Amino acid sequence: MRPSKRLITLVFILAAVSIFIGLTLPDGAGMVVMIWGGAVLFGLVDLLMTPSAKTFDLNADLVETGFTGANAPLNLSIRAKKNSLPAYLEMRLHHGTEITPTPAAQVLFNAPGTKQHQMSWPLGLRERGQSKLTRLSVRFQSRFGLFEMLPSWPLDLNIDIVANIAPVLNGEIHTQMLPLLDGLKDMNLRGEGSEFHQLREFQIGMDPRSIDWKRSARMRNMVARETRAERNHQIIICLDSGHLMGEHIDQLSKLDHAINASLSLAWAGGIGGDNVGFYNFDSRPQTFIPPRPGKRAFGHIQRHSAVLQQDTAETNHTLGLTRLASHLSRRSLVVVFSDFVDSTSAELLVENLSVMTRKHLVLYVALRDPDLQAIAHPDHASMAAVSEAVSARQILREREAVLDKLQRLGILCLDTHPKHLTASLISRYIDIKAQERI
Amino acid sequence: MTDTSAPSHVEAPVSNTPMIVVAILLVLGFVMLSMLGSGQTDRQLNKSAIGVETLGAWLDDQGVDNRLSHPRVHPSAEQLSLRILPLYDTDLSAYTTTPETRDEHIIQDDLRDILQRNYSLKIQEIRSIVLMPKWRGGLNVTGIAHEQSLIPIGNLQPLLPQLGLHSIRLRRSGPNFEQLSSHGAEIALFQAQFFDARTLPDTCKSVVTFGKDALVIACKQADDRPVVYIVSDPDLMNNHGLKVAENARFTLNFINNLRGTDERPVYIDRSSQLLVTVERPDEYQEYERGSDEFERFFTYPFSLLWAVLLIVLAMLFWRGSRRFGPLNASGGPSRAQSKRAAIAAKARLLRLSGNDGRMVADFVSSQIEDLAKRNFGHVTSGEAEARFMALVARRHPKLAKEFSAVSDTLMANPPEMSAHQRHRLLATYHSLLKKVMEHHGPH
Repeated sequence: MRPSKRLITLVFILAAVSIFIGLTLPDGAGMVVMIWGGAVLFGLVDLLMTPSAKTFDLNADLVETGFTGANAPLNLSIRAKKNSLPAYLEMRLHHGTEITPTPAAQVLFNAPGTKQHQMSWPLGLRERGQSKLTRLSVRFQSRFGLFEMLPSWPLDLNIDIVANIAPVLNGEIHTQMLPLLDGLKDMNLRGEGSEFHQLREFQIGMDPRSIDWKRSARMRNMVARETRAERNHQIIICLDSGHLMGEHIDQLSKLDHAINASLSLAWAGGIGGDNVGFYNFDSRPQTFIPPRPGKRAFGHIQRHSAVLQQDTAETNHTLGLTRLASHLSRRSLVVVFSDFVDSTSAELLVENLSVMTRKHLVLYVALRDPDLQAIAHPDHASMAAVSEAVSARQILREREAVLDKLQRLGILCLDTHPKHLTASLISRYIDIKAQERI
Repeated sequence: MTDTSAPSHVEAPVSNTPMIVVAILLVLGFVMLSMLGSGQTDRQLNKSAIGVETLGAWLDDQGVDNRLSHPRVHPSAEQLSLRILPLYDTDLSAYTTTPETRDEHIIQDDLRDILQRNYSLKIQEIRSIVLMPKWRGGLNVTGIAHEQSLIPIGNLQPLLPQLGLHSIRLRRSGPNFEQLSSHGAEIALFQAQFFDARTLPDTCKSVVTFGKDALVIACKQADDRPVVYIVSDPDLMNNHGLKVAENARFTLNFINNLRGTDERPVYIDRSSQLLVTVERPDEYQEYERGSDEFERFFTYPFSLLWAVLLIVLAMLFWRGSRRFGPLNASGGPSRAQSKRAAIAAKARLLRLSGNDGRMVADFVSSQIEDLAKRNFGHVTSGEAEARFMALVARRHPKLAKEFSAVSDTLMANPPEMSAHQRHRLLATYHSLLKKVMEHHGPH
């Protein structure tokens, strides 16, 4: 409990009145005592008429696991055992740094006579790791608004924040992979898939070139060869966990965006019948998980990425990519998640990727910064905005120049908004498979 | 980017407080500078031909202990034997105005104001040798001891009664050296200034006489007050006069004569302020300090004030001591902020370089290039604008014409275009661009 602004104002007014009486009336002490006595009495009455926080019953429930970038609902129920809830209740949470409640303070407006209020408070999960809610603080006004009551309840709710595999769980990846799984029949592109799958009875509408004439003659019926995309390729997810990947875009770090997309790709690789490996590096080479069939690899990668933190030092691309190359004996699709600041700092990255692309198919994944795009395209035409736009555009141009250079060297580039990263990456993977570029 | 970063185009309201503080500091600075300036003038006077800086050095050289006055040093009167006080004020009751032009400096009589009260207190504290004023500021400005640089005798008349010399008359010889012998030294004075010995008041007697005139007189004050010696011609002891003939020898002998066996230092007083401290035991009064004095602070209405103050403080402290919810997370410098800071710094440099025209031309050109890329894919920069304009012209000829004219003007950046015109054109371009984007997609 603490005095409200209203009470502080009242005290200042009474103080001014008291000083005025003291300066003007030689025997005004009694009057001053009466005034202050009245104020104290008013305060006591106010407190007596205010519902006590001890009569409130609070229940809170939180899921045990949540995905980075997603919201986890905190279900709260507050009930008045006696009388009713105050008309206005404000709540704040004591929580770990990985959590961002939205909004930071929740306000409840209760109709007169309300005894119970239930609500769901979305908690934004911003970083991987274990986080907890330790306490719930509540504020409400006393009956006449002279005091602010500040009760709080211990919560002790834990939540494990893990990489976002929602696209895997909800079947989004599976749906996206369907054209590849069902082979020629549902593929829109022609000429993709060279691995023999099965013989089928020829139907009108099928490509006549798919007819297997020898077997048709033997079976005395028209049969067609059905092919599917080649399987058992190697996909290596190569993650830069250097300091540049710590930059936050859309409330998540670039590393978290990359991990989320990596896990989706690992799952897609499993569905596509490929072997998926994992490698991460920063200022030094870090863990290498050898390629294995996709769904088994998924568990390994998920466990490892749960504890992966970005380094504070600058990434050493030469060391990291050279070590990776030494691990790979077979042509693979290497998906590199990395970042650079300008063309100068990207030189080593370009050089090492160009070396790697001689033997492997390299897909370089970069994340666009929407804020930078917004600065480069201002919505008003002041000179300050123009100068900032020109400045931001120089950064974007350098970025484009680096990506152009990579593409000219035969490196595939995926430069996309973080929101579309997973979908774009899976789509690109399907294209690569369909075009048999591995 | 991060949730903690604010959009760059939102500018925080500019507070005037820093500017007010800066203005106050500037004013204070200038006031202090002007005060320093006045001190500088004082120091220049001491070092000038009519100052008495050399006297201290000469006495030092001759083994006579002396102290030069300093504004922050306050010696006790009991520790001093004699005061030498040069006057540069012809009227102790009037304030002089600060001269501004060179001519005003030349004809300035009063070079350092001293209050009548301060003068009286100074000569009451210890025995004093007072040097009468003689030269105007012109001597310092021109460096020539010309007749015109002398203070007219008439201008010195108000000073004499203020020094207690009511009936005395001053006389000045012509533009030549007057020579006399006294205290074992040959004195020479140019444009010598004397008291008429016949007009000396009863309280004064001549100490150094030159014919019918007196060069130094000794005047009694009240019985318990020390004697004051008044030198009619300051050239006897000032910086340029000391070097003439044996004036320095005379000064040394005269001072030694006055001091006798007194070993205490001579005080060369170059200030119009009262720097010497005097103990006055008769003014000391012992007060009884008891708890009654303190208790008076707690009687009515003071008791009421204290009580109210305590209540207000208690309430404020109570409110401040209780916090609702956790501490707000401090938003440390993130990479996103550093990137934004880099962009803002670069933008600021662009503005400071003064090439707004070229900057706007680059902005417009790259925006159109972007639009062209959206429509046609990668095209060379020069071709992109033309192709895009042609596309717009096919669909919306009127809009294309206006848009093309404005963007071409901005990209051409003609030297005669003023900042105002550029700003106006930029606003027009922006509104037209919005229309174009409605038909040809976003950036």
